Amino acid sequence: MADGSLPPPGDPLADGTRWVRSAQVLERLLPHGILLLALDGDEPILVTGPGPDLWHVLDEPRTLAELAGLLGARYDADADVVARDLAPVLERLEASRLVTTVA
Amino acid sequence: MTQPPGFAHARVIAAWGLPGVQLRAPGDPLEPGEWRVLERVVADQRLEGLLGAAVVDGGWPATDEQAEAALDLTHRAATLWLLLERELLAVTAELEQLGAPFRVLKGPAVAHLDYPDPSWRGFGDLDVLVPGRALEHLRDRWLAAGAVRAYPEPRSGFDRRFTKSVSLRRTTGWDVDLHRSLAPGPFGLALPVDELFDTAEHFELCDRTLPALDRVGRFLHACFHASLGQAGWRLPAVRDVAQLAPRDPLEQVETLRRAQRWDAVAVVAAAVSLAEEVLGWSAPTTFVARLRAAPISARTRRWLPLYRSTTRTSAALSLAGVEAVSGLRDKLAYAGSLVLRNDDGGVAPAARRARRALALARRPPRAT
Repeated sequence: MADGSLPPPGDPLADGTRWVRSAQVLERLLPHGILLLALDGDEPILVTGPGPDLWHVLDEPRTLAELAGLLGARYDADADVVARDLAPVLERLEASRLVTTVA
Repeated sequence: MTQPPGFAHARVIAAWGLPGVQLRAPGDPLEPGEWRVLERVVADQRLEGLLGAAVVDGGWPATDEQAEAALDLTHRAATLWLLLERELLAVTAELEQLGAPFRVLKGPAVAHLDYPDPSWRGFGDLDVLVPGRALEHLRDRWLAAGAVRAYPEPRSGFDRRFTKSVSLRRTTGWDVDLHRSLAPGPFGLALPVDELFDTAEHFELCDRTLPALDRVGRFLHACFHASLGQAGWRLPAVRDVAQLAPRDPLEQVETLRRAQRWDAVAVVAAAVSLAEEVLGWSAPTTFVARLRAAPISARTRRWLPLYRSTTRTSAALSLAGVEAVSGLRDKLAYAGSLVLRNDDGGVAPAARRARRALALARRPPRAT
């Protein structure tokens, strides 16, 4: 935490897992989002809203806190709120083999 | 120019984003009936990405409902592009394994290399250029695995030596055209196909780097496709001509030098003029001046009208092809392959004559 205190238990921002795009993904930027297809996936998945920006910042391994910080700054939104919204999106992207986690 | 309903609007969409275009979008959203027609034409012509971009950018007026429909069209089309690109990765991996040189043609290559945004250029199949021997090898391998070819080979060896391309539906369900040349008929047969592998430009797809023709080659191919295509011209091919038209003086000179070597100046002139007419676009004036000064061979003046969709016949193109093939033996082999079909039960008199001509051609020249 910025003030040096410990994060509360279960705080997603405290999770040190780092997320990054899978190298095995085809993408197409569309006017209303980004369409992603894992080479071993079934169907492309459209990530709308800040999807293209999220995909952009996933170009290198980042923690949820880092991703939330970058997107929060971009959209002038609170990082805690962004992180809460982002966590399930990342899990869905991981389940679709579009992003991976690194140690 | 006779146009089906909705086509005038589709031309505006096809020209969207090009600098200096004179075609203008309507001032207000189309009536629902007109919009539905436009949707059909846009889907048929594979202009979904341009429509979506134009609507979002405000370049095409749309109601909320129409804007949503445009984005939905783009989404559905883009789904197809990504699935095709995945197939392209599989096909090119196989070619790399074989050690065969190849060049990715048309859709995916120009989408990634020549458009400001790849989603502006749609495509519905894959086209890959390979040398004749590799084409034959890959064709047999895919056919053995269960692929289906669209048209039978006229005569054994025709695909390797003379065909423009072989269309195959792979067992994955996707259509792939394996090209030996860039155009049907005499223009394709006159092309020095080995030269197509001398240069390349690469594009990234996923974690792979794939070779395409260089920019000059892509422009000339776009001209072939727009001017000589089988079913008349299509808007993305015409847009490619405008998108790739050389602006840099050095590139203009190299383009025309290569067009002369390929005996394709007439094709370039026809394609540029078509793009100007259809898209309301103006080609770079320096390029037009150079193009007008470039010599057009007499034979290509004769060939070009044979491709017009109203009078086009495969027989006329094949016959003109005899003139385009260089070397007596190759001419005879080509002519022979046109009259001798693999599925011939009996032998027609024309076939007997062609066989005799082939036999004569194989004799060593008599000493005089």
